[in-house]
Amino acid sequence: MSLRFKKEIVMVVLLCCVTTATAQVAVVAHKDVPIESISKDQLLDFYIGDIQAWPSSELEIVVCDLREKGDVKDGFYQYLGKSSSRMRSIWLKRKLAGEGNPPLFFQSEEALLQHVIDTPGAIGFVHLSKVTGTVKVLIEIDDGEG
Amino acid sequence: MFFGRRSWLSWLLPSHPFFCKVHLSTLILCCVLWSCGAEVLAQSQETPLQTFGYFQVTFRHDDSTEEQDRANSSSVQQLNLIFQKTFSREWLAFINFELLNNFSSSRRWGSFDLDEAWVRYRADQRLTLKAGLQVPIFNHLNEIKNRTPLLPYVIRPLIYEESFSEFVNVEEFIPERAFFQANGSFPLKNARLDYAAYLGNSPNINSQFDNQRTGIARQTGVDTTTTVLVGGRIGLRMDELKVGISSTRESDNFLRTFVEPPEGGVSLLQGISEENIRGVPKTRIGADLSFRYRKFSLESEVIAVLYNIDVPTELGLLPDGSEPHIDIDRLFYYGTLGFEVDERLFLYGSYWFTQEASEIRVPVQVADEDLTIKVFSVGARYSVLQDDDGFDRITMKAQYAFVPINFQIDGEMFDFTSRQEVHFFGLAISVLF
Repeated sequence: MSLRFKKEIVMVVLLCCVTTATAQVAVVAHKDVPIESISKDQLLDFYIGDIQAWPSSELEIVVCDLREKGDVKDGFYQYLGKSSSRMRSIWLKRKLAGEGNPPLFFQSEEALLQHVIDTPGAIGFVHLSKVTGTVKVLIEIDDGEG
Repeated sequence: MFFGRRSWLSWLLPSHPFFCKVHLSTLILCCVLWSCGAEVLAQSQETPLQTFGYFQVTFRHDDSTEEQDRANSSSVQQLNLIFQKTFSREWLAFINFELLNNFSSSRRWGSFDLDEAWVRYRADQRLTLKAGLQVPIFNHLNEIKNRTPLLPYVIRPLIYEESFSEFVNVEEFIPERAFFQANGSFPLKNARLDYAAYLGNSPNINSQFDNQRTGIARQTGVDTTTTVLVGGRIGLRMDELKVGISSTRESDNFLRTFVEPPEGGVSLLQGISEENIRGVPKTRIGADLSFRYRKFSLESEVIAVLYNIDVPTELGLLPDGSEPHIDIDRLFYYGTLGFEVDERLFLYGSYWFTQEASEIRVPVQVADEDLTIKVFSVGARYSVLQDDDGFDRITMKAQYAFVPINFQIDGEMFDFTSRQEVHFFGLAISVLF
């Protein structure tokens, strides 16, 4: 195998690594939610609307999402094992069947984080670097985890 | 934002300056009322009344081997108006009006139905109770068959196609309405166990047929007998795999079709008393399987309809001395293989099979009848417009179907065979508002 060919292979592999890399994502919730951590299955149940109240509590789960696609959103849904388009079809089905509303969508991570801080029962996801001490971090999702 | 979340205030504040001057007092009053309302809502977790809906406009061309059945047609195939009120996390009311086939009362076209009107109490994911008119859970598609924005089809799998109800007896195959339903799901290791159980009326015990025959003005749509529809589904969900079995049991006015004489002929059950043709026990058994793998998806269902028919002996015995009987078997199944090209484009191929086989042994006729409709279909769904949150608002659909229809009577007195082939081309625009 020629040296040039090997270099091309290395370049392709590196390129693939770059394009599939995901950001470190923190799943955050309002400081008063009655749990300290969350499992992947539980998180999926929250986001598809199977569970609509916090465990051992009457507090309603207010699910928050980012409007625009990006590393953070992609990383979060990759962790859940669903594409964002698949999630939208699940939400639309629930909405049209009268089973619940879709998440609240936010233009930026800052706006989402502020809503989680202000709203009892709210849960969302932001880049780990954006997290402040006024919310609970229920789980940290590492690069490519899922 | 998604539909229904628009603030009340935004509806009350037109921007035209004339409006602002003349109706300032009204505006102030509205603002006061709104703020009072908002306070009450905040206390009771009520949300404003949400109104939304969808419609599907279709153009279709049917090219049939029967010359008279060729057609070009455009129509508003279906329009649904939905009103939803959330009283609290547990309580919600839902009303769905459905207009079919270019509804026009002046032209006597189509139909306008109260499709759903129910109130829901959701304790948690394990138990939801619904009371009121509703479409019960049966297999995979029944509950969402009228949600056209969710489906890729121009024409849905045949027994789910409400706009064909004049030609296909939809209600024979699927339960169309129930009045009480309990459903929920339980975690089961890595899966979820879903259940649903419901009660309703036997849908056609009292029909127009009774009024015409007996002259007694029974109130149609109200079941004055003791018969009910009972049914349910048990299913399992694991990641993107979903399987389930469903069943219903009800009474049916099925034998009426054998009592009404055909034009210029005699009915098969002529002379039979009315009480003997009511309430034939009918059982539906269904199974569904659907899964997704990467960009591929598969949806499939099978439904068998079984009748327990006792033909009254008042008709007398058959010429060979045996007792009269009628056996009917209805069978439907479909499978749709889909491929999601990207977030906007979905392609699919589908096969539907419908069969009604009858074995008729009554004094005036001994015959076997078999009606088979097969549908080979391919289609595409393309999202033309998505809102800011990525939900499809305007969707284009295209579908081609090849439909061979076979009808055969094999009788002692005569034989009859008919074969017709239909090529169906359909285009549709589906709008969610």
